[in-house]
Amino acid sequence: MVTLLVTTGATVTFKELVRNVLQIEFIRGIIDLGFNEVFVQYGNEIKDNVHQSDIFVQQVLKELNSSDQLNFNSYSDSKASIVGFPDTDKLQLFTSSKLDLKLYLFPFSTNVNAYINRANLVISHAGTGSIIDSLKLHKKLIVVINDQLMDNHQAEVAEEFCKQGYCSSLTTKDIKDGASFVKAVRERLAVESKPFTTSKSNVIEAIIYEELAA
Amino acid sequence: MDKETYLSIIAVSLLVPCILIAIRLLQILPSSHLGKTSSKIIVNDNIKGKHIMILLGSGGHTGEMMNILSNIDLKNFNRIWVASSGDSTSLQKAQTYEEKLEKTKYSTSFMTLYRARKVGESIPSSIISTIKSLISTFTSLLTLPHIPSIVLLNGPGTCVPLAYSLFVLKFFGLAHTKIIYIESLARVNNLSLSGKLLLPISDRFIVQWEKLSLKYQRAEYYGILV
Repeated sequence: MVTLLVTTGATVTFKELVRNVLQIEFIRGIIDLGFNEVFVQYGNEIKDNVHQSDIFVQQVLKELNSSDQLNFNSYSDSKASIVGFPDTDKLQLFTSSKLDLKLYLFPFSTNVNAYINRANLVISHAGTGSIIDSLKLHKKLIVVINDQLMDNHQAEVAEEFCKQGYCSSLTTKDIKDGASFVKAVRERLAVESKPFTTSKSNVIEAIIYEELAA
Repeated sequence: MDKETYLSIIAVSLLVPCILIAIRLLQILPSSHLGKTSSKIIVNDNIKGKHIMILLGSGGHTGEMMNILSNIDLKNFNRIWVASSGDSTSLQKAQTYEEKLEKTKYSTSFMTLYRARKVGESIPSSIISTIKSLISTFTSLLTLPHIPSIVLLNGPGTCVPLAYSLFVLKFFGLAHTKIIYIESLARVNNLSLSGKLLLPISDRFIVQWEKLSLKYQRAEYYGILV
């Protein structure tokens, strides 16, 4: 299995990312690159008791199906096929007779690390948590910056990591065109992952003890 | 009473409290202290059983705090977990951490605080909610059986009333809480508003990007901690 994980954050639906990952040109492109499994964590936005992210992803899937008569269908036996994964009740599997690809959709997971672990490449929103989790597990990473967020200081951290060579960063403009999105994926796959380390010593614990002794 | 005496009385009655306040502030403000840890953990029996308060600020803040705590053994302390009202996810994460912790004689308690500024709130209404949050935080602290000896904070807004309430208690000698602030990894070039407000009153102020430690003298940098 060659696995792609797309993770968009748990709160707001990152529509641009979900839409551009679920476009036919991008899907065909990554199949050509050897991927045969895609997980999309699409968001858990609930407004007025309506699951906004669910509605959005269903609509995008409908558009995808009509684009090339793909007929991605929900596959009922999804639970059995992916034993041991967290929150499998939320995981929906889609397959199409026309494509050699398993498409898994889920709103969010309490243990997204299990999914990151399985992935060969992670395409993530610019959330610090997702970036750090992916780098800690030494995954190849592309960060897509949501320039529609008002207070976009989160992008700073993505840019800093990319500057240091840990990931590539794209904006929502860069991913509009399926072909250039695929190109960015191909380029990232060609780069050897740079080993990522966090501070190993228990600095904060030492500080706690120092302050309590003082 | 002639005018001169009257003026001197006013001057003295204003000056004396101001000087006393200044002296007290100099005593308790940590700004003279430049911390740098040796990263050695020295456990002694006096430290065991002290009360540690941990604020879980919601979302990414809670995530970062839990990642930091995953390397820390808190079994020798009494723990007070604090979250904003309505944030059950954070308390669940604290619960999970507690379940993994080795059982000792020390206690765990949970506390919820009125939430300070909400994202996107207008300035007048955020002033009102900050005052409300300050009052409710202060009264919640006073009702605690033990004022914590140490508090770990990493944002967002809710940590400001908490830290300043503790600081007021310290001012009047009612608490000796050490305030430790860890700036979010998301802050690369500038401190967050909470960070800026807490810099003068934190006993230890830790950042996760070297740039910030060069910009702010009291900010300590040890690499990425989350």
